[in-house]
Amino acid sequence: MPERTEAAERRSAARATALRDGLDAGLAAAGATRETAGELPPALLLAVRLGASEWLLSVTTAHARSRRVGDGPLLANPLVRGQLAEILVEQRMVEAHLEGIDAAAEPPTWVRLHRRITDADRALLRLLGARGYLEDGPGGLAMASEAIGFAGAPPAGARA
Amino acid sequence: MTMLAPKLACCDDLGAHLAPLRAQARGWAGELVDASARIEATPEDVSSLLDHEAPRWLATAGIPQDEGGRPLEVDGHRYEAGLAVEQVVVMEELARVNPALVVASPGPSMAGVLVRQLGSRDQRRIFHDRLLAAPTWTFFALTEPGQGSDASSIQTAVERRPDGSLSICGTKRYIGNGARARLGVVFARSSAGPLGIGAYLVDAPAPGLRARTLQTVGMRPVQLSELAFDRVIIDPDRLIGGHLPASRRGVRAFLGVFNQLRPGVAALALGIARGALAIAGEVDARPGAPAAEVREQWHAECAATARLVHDAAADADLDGTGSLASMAKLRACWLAEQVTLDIADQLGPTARTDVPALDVLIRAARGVEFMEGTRNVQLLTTFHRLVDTSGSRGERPPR
Repeated sequence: MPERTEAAERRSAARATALRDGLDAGLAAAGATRETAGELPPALLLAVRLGASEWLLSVTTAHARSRRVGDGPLLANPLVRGQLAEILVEQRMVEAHLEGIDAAAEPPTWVRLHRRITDADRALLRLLGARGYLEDGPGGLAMASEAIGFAGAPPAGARA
Repeated sequence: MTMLAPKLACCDDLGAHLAPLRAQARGWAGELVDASARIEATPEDVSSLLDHEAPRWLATAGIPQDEGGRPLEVDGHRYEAGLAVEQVVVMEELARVNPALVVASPGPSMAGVLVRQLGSRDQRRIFHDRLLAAPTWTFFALTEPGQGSDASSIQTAVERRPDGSLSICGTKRYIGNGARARLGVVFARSSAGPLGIGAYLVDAPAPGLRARTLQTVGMRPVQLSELAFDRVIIDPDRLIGGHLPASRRGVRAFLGVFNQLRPGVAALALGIARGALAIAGEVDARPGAPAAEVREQWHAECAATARLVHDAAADADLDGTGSLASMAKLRACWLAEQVTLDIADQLGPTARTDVPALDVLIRAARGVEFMEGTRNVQLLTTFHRLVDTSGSRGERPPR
């Protein structure tokens, strides 16, 4: 295994914080706020958004486990299980892109990577129903993450 | 349904009946651009919409002529807007600017469809007379905090009191226009089982009824609300469809209402997508973005989705079936989200702040997803269509 760079360590720490405590905590661990997120190195910003998306996945999974539909939990629905699994795979793919970023010959298409996180977040919000559209809670945090991704994604060709 | 829809050969080549209505609605939409920005900034001030023709028309749209409704006349064509095929045309055009212009306008809206389909003559008169007397916002209180919009799981209770009146207790959530509405329907349970669920006509404000608005990430003018009913007293004749057997006014009857409304939500989503494409045509894309080719593909996808939406509306008018409407809603909502995000990606990092009208559409695209059932509800309805028709499908060549 190649030794992890300092930048990779920083990404990993910020992502883990976002996964545990949500978007704003992840940004703080990266040394930024929602307002200054655009100044972060592109890969670090992406890592924070990935962690926040993983946080949203855990919140949504907990919701699906506790929410009852008919005779059982929402989580028993095969459609829901499949969608959660798809999102997990998508998040793992973004992680794989991040892992290779420092050694990559060419920088990634940042806009596309941010879009993959945005699409995953929106798919999760659908499973929260109308609660996912409220400003106060997961919906508001996902919208903030999305806006940060729009504003902070550098053009094609920018380095990590 | 009592009326047959004019059958559309193709939505991009609208029948002669609907073309003048679309032109009229497009004109209305153009006049609402400033109003859209205003109500986004101050959602509590939607009464200013009444300075414009479209919201004034929506305030009574769909009320039958023999109950006082005034049809719209354009170039010799008459429109009552009771037909889904007419509604989708107007809704799509207005949604190009902002779907909240439709949803936050006064009028019969969802409650009106229910009252028209199931209400007694007196109930229809009470409801329609109120709307004809003055612009009135209405609510449709189905969704509950713990149950979502699963009608069969409703917890809100209605009990008969010794004097014969009815008392409603329970909480409803995510109710559009709930805090500003002066009339609406609330779904409540009088006994266990699907036949114990009924819809009741309620005036607001009322003793025991508390409303508070919820902060949403988009479509703020709609003012989603929570309505708490604490022993709200109503007359027993407010049970909508009380003159019908319980089997004809229960959960299945409500589902028919949703089938009627779903093409309209699909049309709102389609309008969002087309609105975003129109904005994209007026703004420079960021260097290197494959703008023209992507937009061309999206225009083609919009045209195909429009056919689906209009076919779904025609189906709803003819027999009230819902699966085609589910497909239309599913695809149109997907289209709205993907197109708005693609356009924002193309225009660059400051697009959402530099072009507020685009940001409104991006946020609204998330909102229409939650109206009339999210993606999985529509997928299941679509699956039922596959199962219900699979016997004949195998013997018939695809169109």
